[in-house]
Amino acid sequence: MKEVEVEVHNPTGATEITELFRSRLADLNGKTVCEVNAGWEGHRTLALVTELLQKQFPTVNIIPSTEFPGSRNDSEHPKIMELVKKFKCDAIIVGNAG
Amino acid sequence: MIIREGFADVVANAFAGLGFPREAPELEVPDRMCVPGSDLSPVREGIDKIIYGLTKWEPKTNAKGAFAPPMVTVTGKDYEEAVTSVNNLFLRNMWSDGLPILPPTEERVNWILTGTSLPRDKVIGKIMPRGGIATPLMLAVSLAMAGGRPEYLPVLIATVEAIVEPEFYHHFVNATTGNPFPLVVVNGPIAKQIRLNSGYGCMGLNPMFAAGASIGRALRLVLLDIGGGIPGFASMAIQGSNRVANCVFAEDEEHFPYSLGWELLSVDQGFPQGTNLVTVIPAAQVDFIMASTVSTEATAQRCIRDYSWAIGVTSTMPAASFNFGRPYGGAGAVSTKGSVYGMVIFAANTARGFAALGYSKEDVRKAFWEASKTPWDTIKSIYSSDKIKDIIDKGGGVFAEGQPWPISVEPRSIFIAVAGGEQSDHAMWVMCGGASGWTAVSKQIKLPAKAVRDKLIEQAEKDLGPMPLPQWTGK
Repeated sequence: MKEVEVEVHNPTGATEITELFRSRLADLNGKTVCEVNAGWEGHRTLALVTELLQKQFPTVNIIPSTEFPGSRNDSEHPKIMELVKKFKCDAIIVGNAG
Repeated sequence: MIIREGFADVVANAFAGLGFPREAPELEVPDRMCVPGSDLSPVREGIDKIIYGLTKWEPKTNAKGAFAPPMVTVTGKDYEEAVTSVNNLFLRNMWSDGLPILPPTEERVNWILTGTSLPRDKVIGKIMPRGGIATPLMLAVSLAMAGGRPEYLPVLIATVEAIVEPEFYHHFVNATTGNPFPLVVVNGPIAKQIRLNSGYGCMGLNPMFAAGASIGRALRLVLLDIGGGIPGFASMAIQGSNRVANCVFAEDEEHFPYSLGWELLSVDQGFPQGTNLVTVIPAAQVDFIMASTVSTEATAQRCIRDYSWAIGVTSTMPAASFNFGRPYGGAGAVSTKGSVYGMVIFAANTARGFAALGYSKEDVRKAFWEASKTPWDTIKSIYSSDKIKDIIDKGGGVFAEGQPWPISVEPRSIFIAVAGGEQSDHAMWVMCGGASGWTAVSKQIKLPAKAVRDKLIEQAEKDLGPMPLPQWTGK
């Protein structure tokens, strides 16, 4: 008996990739790493990350999360982007997202 | 990125929504680490992963462009088995909402698309957090799955146009740990033509008025499928109430007390009476208010008191907890057009009762606003002194130390809609907010040519039987 075929649309629709990730950094020494607090004790987590990174990369320049508005408030996002440019961040660590 | 355990898909969706590939270098840490005084050893143990993410991680996707998934073919020994297989596939892929769907075949979707004159691939907006692209075609797919009809499509399109407006914050609505859902009120002749309920049980499902169920469910599928808001993966709504078919109903224009000076919700929103319009609010909770008929000044005052207790009691915690600096309707907000704190929904005779006693809609709104003020002692107990100062500074003189505080900067942030049949008595208070948003957005409904509309309505008469008149006439 011949099977019946039903062809249906995938309901998830199209997505568009408009941005690509930057190349990774070869070494963190001499680079500027910015930290953005996304809440959920992010301020403590990022302070510890600062300490641990500085141990391994003595000349890394860390801009702490206290220099940025919290990222949970999306009205602050343009301000964060301004500061990222101002500090010439080579990399950003966000935590604790969720 | 350092993320809380279980939020990997949330973050992936957020990246996709921003236009990046759906991936990111991450260190996942236990949820228990995200409380004050917690043990941070997962960060010590994971520092190498953080360094790897900064120095060595490579994304799998390295090309820009739009990616549309192909159609899917499902087989079965007969049509019934194939339809069952479609349903099983959609459940496995998390493309369904848990209820049975009608297969979105090209034929069914094309039939739904006869309800709009818009091009099928016109971009309406991105649905967050995943950032899937909403088009008339994709909304027709959702409506087809939800058992909808072509004449419903313009209302669904207008609703999605409303929620993708930035001030609606639908990326919060569809991802937050709060429990918001879009509540849609329709004004204009279209509501009656497509059998949208404004009467008994208008906030629920009703076989005589199937439009609300289908449009609301289709909207839910839009948020799930195109927006990726799958519970526990991208939508972290902890209980996720009222999400079966959202809440889509019409204002009761049939019994509305126009002659007594009242104006429709659509007019409140700045549109002429008779405009086909959707107004969408980010509802956070729905409270039943058991109240009496408004027939005398004493009963009017009692209703104002009872409604205001519901409004005031529900207002305090969300307002205190969530002020993300947005121009919202809650305490301390900057009032903007469309700021909504919540919506009172009462039946036509309640409105008529107030109107007959000389209360304009604005009088009632102001009475709710005044009577729902929070006593100063309560304010002091829930807000920090910094917060109190911040709210007083932003409040334009509305909030003062030692005085009771209203729930919003202006009374107009309390919306009023008339629906639920002709009788008086009980009401609903729909509170907006939490982390969901505080702005009502209205959009005009774009209809196809009259000849097309007439044909669709005529077909609906044949398919569904005569228009169910009793609820419209109140007889």
